[in-house]
Amino acid sequence: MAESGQQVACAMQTFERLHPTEFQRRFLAQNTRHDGREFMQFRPVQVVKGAISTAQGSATVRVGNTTVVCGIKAEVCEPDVKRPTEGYLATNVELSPMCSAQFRAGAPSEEAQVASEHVHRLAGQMFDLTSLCIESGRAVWSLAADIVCIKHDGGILDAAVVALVAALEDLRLPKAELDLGTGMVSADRTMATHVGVGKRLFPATFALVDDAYVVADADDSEERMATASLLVVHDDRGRLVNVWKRGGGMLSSETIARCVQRARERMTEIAQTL
Amino acid sequence: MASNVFDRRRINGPQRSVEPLYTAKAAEPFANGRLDGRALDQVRPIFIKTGPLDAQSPSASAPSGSAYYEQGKIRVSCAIYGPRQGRQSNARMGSFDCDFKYAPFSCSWRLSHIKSSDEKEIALMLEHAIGPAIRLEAYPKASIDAFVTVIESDGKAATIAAAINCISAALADAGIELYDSVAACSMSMYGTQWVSDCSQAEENASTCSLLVSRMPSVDEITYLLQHGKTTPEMTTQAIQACSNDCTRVYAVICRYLQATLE
Amino acid sequence: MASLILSPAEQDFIIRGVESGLRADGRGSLDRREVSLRTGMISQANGSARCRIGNLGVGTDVLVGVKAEVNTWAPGEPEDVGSVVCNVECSPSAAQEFEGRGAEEINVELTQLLDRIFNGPQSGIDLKKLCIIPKQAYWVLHIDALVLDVKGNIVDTLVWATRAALLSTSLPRVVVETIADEMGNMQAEFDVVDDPEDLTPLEGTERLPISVTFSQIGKRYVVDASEQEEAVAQARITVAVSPAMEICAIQKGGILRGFPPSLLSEILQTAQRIAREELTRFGTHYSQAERQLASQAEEPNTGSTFLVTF
Repeated sequence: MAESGQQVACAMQTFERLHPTEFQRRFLAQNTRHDGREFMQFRPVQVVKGAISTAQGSATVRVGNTTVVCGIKAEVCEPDVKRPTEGYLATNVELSPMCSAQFRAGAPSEEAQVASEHVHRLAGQMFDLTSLCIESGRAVWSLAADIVCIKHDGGILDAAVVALVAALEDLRLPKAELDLGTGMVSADRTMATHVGVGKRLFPATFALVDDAYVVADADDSEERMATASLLVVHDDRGRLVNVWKRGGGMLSSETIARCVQRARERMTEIAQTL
Repeated sequence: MASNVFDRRRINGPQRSVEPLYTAKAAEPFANGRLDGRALDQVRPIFIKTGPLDAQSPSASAPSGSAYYEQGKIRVSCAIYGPRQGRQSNARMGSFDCDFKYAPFSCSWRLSHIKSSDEKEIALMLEHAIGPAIRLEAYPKASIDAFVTVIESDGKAATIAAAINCISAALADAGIELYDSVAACSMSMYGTQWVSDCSQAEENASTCSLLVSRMPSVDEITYLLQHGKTTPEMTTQAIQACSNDCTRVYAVICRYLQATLE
Repeated sequence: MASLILSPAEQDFIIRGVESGLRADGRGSLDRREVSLRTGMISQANGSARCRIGNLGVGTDVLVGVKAEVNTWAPGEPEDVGSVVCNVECSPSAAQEFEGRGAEEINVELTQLLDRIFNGPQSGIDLKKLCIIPKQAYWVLHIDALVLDVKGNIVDTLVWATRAALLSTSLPRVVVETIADEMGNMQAEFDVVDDPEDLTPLEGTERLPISVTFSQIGKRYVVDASEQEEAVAQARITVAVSPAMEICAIQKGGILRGFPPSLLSEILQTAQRIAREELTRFGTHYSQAERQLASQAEEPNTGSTFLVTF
């Protein structure tokens, strides 16, 4: 019996390798997914804050198998003349060749650029840049938040946003003072304080797989078959912050409403882990 | 101190930003023994896990083997892809290539996204250190690629050694044919005393550092790097001491790899 | 570094030869090729040298220029020392594989190796003497090397040429004055004396290291490997030794093999002996080059001297 079970598993692996699309379809047609989840079921989230001592703030986030690490480095600079009290927050998503064979070394891929851009836009909505002011018009903090993907298995935007929120919550900036004579900023590491995120953001991604099935939190193999994806972001008071639909596949307004509803439920799942 | 290179494919910060002057003095290394209270010849505790990045189901984009390695504060992650179709279709032997990247937040200073010549050289060092262990003649026309990301570093020589150990474990996880696992260890000289596995603060205070990687059961030194000046006797002594450390690290790696098979 | 493709018979010939102590060009396993060294080739640089190992047309040829520049100090940099910046470039005309981006990897490798030998206290150069005013200004020595031809053993040729270039380097004199500004604060200022005759040689050059590169072939090793020998070499190790017989740097290269510890300790001992011989040989070649340069100075300098003397 055990042997035939093994044979079935082996045949299944071969089938998946040779006909990945057909393999997925068989599951979807029977109202289930290849990893046993229901259509609207998300993968579990795990958050570890502040593991990296070389960064001023950091967090490691796992969504299913997808793993990202976000580290924030703080430096000081002169503010923009037009916004004398605002600091800088530059967020970049790094999809290295280590996390998946689909990425090449060197310049960021298109997917990485899109992710960086979108995360940056969301960061602007949640983080108050004036909290980075040291001396108006003279010196502000400049934060570089780098989100490095360790393992890519779909849902990279969800993981990146959660990691950024967690890393910003973990961020501790040393007490800084501007020396007006020399124009240099001195900082005291022993007097570090939390900056705090303005409002937490809770992302949820949905995918239209094979132009027929709407699934929550698609993994890599499902994302490959997706014709459309929908990112829904709520803030901590349950207000809708961002809805972003990509891809050519059609989503009815009822489907979108259902996804928004489901995303709100996802909020509590993420909030618990944070 | 980072001069920000403007790259329109990334989100850029301000044109120029600098680290503030930190007022708190860092503790003086070796003023009163080692900063973390270790013995001079003690290597930081090691943690290894193979297969954290491996696929649960067969997938073309997942690596064939992977490993996560910690040594004190150093955290390194590595993925092996291959053996896959190589570039040279008539090669008698397989090729082995490494790619090494520090995460931008992994060092005490901020790093650029663009690969520095330092990272390129470390990638070469890793190839030279690991290459002798792989049975490349068993993989004609194929290429084996190792991608290493440093999540946190603490001491340059120790980080390179950690990367070598990490690749070594990942290659075993990928089922690549090896002569032996490679184990690496580093040492720095402070005064006339060699100190094992130095942290960044300790390394900054030292005048000379040595990195050795070896295959203990074949008894072959696969890589040797000395940076800084010593007497030949001190060098010989350090190579010997480092080799002994390598054997200890090797025992940890092997014990772990054996445990994964049971 | 191997570009040459040899047939299995040729490879076997070289390996067996080395194992029995014979080399294809008649040398013993520890014999080095002829060297020719010239200094002062580049009039715009503060120091320069060209070194060729092997005969004309079949040798490895490297040109090195040392240019000194004054840099203003920035916060975060060390306060009272100057710095050395190395850069090695392999000319596309030296070998076919250097065309396009082919030389990128070897450029990085050689640059880092040169940096490891010459940048820092192990080089013997007194970096403190390169500081003009602490926390204000310092000298930067740019060592730029151009590999013109490759016929084996680039590393040692590079170190010979750099050593000679640094020995011939002299810096303009700098006058430091302390002036009080309007506020009454004392401020140090400096002036670089623009007189081509008023130069001071670099300090600490008598402590510059020399390198010996070993190539492992079969069960034995050779020094100063030729192009054919490098093509069959499994591993390479460079040892830099100072005149006081201290070891300044060790670096292994080559992806195919490692070294058994017994062979390694033998290599380290041999390295010291060879380095001593090489330092004497370097001395004679360098003083010869200086004499030649002095005699040339009397003759009218035409564009063809560069070609004629080489």
